[in-house]
Amino acid sequence: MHAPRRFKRDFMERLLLSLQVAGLTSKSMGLRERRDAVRVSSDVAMASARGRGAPWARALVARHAAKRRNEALLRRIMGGGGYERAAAAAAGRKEVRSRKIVTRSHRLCSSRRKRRSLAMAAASGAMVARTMVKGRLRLLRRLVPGADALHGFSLLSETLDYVVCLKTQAAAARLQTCMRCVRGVNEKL
Amino acid sequence: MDMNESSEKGMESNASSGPGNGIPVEWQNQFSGAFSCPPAAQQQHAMMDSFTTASAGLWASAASQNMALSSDVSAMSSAAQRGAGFLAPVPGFLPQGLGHFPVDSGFIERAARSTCFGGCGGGVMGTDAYGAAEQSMGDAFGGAAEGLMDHRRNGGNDKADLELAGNGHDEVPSSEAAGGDCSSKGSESKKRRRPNEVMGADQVHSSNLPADSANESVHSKDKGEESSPATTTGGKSKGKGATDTSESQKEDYIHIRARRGQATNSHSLAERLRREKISERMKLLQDLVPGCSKVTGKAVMLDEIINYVQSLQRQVEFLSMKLATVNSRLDLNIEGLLSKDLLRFPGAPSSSIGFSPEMMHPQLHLSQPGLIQGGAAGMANPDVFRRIIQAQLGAKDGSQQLPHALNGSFSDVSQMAYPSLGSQDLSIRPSQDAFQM
Repeated sequence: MHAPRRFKRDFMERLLLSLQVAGLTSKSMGLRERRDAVRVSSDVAMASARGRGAPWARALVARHAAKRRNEALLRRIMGGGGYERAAAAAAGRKEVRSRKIVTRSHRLCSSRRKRRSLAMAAASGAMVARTMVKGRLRLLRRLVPGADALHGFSLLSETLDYVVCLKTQAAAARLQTCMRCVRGVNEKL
Repeated sequence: MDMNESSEKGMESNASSGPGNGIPVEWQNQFSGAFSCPPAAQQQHAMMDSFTTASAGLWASAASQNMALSSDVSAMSSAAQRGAGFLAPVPGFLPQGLGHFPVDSGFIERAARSTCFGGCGGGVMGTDAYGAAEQSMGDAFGGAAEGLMDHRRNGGNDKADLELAGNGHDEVPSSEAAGGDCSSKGSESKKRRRPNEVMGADQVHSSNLPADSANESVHSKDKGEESSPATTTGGKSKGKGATDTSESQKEDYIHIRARRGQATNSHSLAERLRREKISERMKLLQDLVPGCSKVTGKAVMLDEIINYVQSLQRQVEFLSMKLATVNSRLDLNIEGLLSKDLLRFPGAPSSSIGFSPEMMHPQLHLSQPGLIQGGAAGMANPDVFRRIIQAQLGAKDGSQQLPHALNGSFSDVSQMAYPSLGSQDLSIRPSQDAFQM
């Protein structure tokens, strides 16, 4: 259980640091580059503020590390060691992917079984409800980073964590933009 | 005007804290600028003060903490007058928007463990400028969380007690031992669960923990028995609990009181426990995701959760885009654009903006194309900027009234911008975001 204040403060500090490191004030960057840089830096800030205890943090960073374009920026923000760890995690996700294939094939088999049973019996309410729930859990697994292999209770815990951190990320980003807007205006005048 | 007096006292105490020298980060510069206010740059800092006041006001439930962030006396008085009207709604609003912090069952045991977390944390974090704002944020959460905690207490949640029995009773003796240990906060920080660990909630829980241990021990019993009072709600006889306490603490695994008429098979009991854990989690999620209190059933809940996660992700993406834009705009020459357009709208009413976003819409027609690329935040900002510019232009004429009016309105607008943003964000409308592009 992480402290809310400390998490927010940590996150803010890291966000600002990483935004600085990203060098956003240089005029050479196009808008899309900037946006990607901002997103990467804010995600990395959030993940590192959260710490190692959450699998979504590692998966999020690994997702960014997998793209070659972000390599320089990530190296600058997290340091060489952090980047190596992220790259290792990104490589490790290939194994997870193979496990995903296995689970997906299981799911297909079970769905085939269910279809057969459905053909035999009219779809009972419980069955329908279960399919709906299963479908939505699948969606959730796709949304939450690093929650692919989780089931049931751990998936929900992960979502919970992730939602809280997303909320703080959005709030912090909002404060940031407004403060910067105001500051920009003030400087000009 | 109690707030004014307390605000001035707070200010004097804070006036001694100097600016953050050498802090490269602009955020901290702004906050430290709010603290040290050289008279030459008074007007500029007046606005920053009100803004920090306003932005802190969103988070803080206590007015005095709010006011303590600013060090400008004159700005404070006007901001206090304006802010007083708005701080009342803000705490009212706050629980809806931000107060939905779930209470984890594991939180209960950990809260007991770190009883002085709030005190230590407050002392540690209260010193720097950052920490002050964050502290007020945290206290706001604490206030909301306290309300939630009490609600859960009164609900007589046996599931929470079960969890306690499961997770807590190894830690109950250690929690008593480590109760006064502030360093336990460090061990808490990187643990997994809820962001609810705040002072008030801690005190609530440390007082409730003895009651809980009594309750949980009541729940622990042999698996074979069935209870004649069917349910496992809290409030069993405490005398029985006292004798069982020691036994429960020695056990490693959970004894669950079987309900009347249910199978006492070990498998079904384990399954029931698992299901209850899952429903516990769902309840927490329900508290976290706004607008899910009426929804029952896993499927619909999951639907709402998915929508919420998607909307949050979209928000973050949009905000990062906006941040990137702002950063690029900082270099460009925008004030030419601004001043031309703003002079066209001289007489903006200062307190006409209500909480409803509909009233913001007409002001979007301000032609500031380069500055804000849309969005609810952008909806507030044009107005804000307009007022700032007006104030600056007015201040150069030497009028003292306008900056104060500006500060007040600025704080109004900022406070309103955030609640209106919040109210928009919270309604989950996947097809129509709160941000208009």
